[in-house]
Amino acid sequence: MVTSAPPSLPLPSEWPLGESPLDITPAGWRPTPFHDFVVKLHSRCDLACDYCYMYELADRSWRGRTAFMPDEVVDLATRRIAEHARDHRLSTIRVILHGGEPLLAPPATLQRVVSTLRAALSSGTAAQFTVQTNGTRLTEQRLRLLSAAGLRVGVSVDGGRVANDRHRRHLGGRSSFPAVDRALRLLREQPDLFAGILSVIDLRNDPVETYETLLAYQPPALDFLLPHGNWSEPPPGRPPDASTRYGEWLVAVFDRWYDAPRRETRLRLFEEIVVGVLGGHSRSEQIGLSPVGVIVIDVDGSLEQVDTLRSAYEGAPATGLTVADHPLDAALRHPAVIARQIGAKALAPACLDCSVHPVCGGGYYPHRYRKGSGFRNPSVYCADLRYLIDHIAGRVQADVARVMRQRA
Amino acid sequence: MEPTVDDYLSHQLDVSKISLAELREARQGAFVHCLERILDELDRPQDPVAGFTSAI
Ligand code: SF4
Repeated sequence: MVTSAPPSLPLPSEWPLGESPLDITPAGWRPTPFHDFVVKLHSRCDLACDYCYMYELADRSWRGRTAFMPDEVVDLATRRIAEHARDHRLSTIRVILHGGEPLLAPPATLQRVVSTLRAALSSGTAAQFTVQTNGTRLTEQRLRLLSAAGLRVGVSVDGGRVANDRHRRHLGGRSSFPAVDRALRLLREQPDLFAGILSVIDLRNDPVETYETLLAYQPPALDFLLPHGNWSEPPPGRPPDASTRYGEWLVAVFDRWYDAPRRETRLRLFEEIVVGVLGGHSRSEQIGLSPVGVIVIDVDGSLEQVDTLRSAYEGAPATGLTVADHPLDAALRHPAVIARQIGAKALAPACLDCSVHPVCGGGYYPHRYRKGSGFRNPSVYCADLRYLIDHIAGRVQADVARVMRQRA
Repeated sequence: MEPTVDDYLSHQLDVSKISLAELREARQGAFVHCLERILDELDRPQDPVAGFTSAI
């Protein structure tokens, strides 16, 4: 267990880490408390997905970490979360059990997180618990245990067998699809336990076929993620030009989803854009200007930012803080956390000049990175985001105009 | 050419004045759910906060 701040890696003097918190916060600004607590129970995984930030991208710091979260760290972590919820009078929090692969942790560890946190939370705070898994270990018996502990299950899968196995394979190359397919069939039979599906886009997969394949498992929610990448390490098929292949892929899915006579599933990225276009607030760190309220607690008790930052450079998620020595409020003063809570103030000049920035928000923060300048850049997916948002805005405008016409 | 958000925003409607019944007549499905969320935000304003992407 880490009981004091770990030796910090040399930090780049790039934005925002080269800034003092005072310099980047507008006058009168107040931090937004964390609402999402990502608890990493196990740092290893039984898959070796080739796009995974844990094993394949710039950051290798996980190698020096303990494999799983010991009970004393579980207890410290849950105490810190409960303290934060109480101090900020949070009515609802979400706790996401994550990894590596969280189902590599013993079932008793998952139960311990839920039971100790429920016991520590004051009566005014409701907690939702989910576990985000690759699905390969999700048997009927495991599902019963998760259900008894009050956990819902989100599964990462990229489509049918061919789509999924492009990246999501066991070490040595064996397909992960049969096991994931079995898990998803189990979850389809237990809708109360099924949180949804996360899927990483590969341009070689047909967009509508991918959507419909995943939809067949009847997930209550579905989200498509753009592959990791940034200006210095561009994502696959995303050259630094005005092409919009990812935008077109997403537009094909959007039209299929939006034109369905009933809502077949919640599709998070699209809902956030529709809501944004109508002037509402985003609830996802993927898009929009809402302050990000997410903190990660690593297996050794380190407080970190989101794992996807590992795709930028070694140690990018680190804060130098730990649950043993610091309340979670301490992380609210970290420049990188502040940068994700100050909305348009964190945007690059090009984004501020862009008319869709209230909806787009510069895109997902890790996608903005460029070696030398840091995170104050448009997303590496800028052209795709603009294409998608313009398309969605057009569809929404047509529907709202129709309501007004009918009224007239 | 497709309309842009600029076009949209210049015609932005106050959706608080539209009833859900009217919206349901315009389009079923995902659109209505998004508008319900907007109307809910207007009814019960809360500080916005963005949640974790790598989980669902
Ligand atoms: S579309 Fe591009 S320029 Fe506009 S806000 Fe998004 S990332 Fe920035």
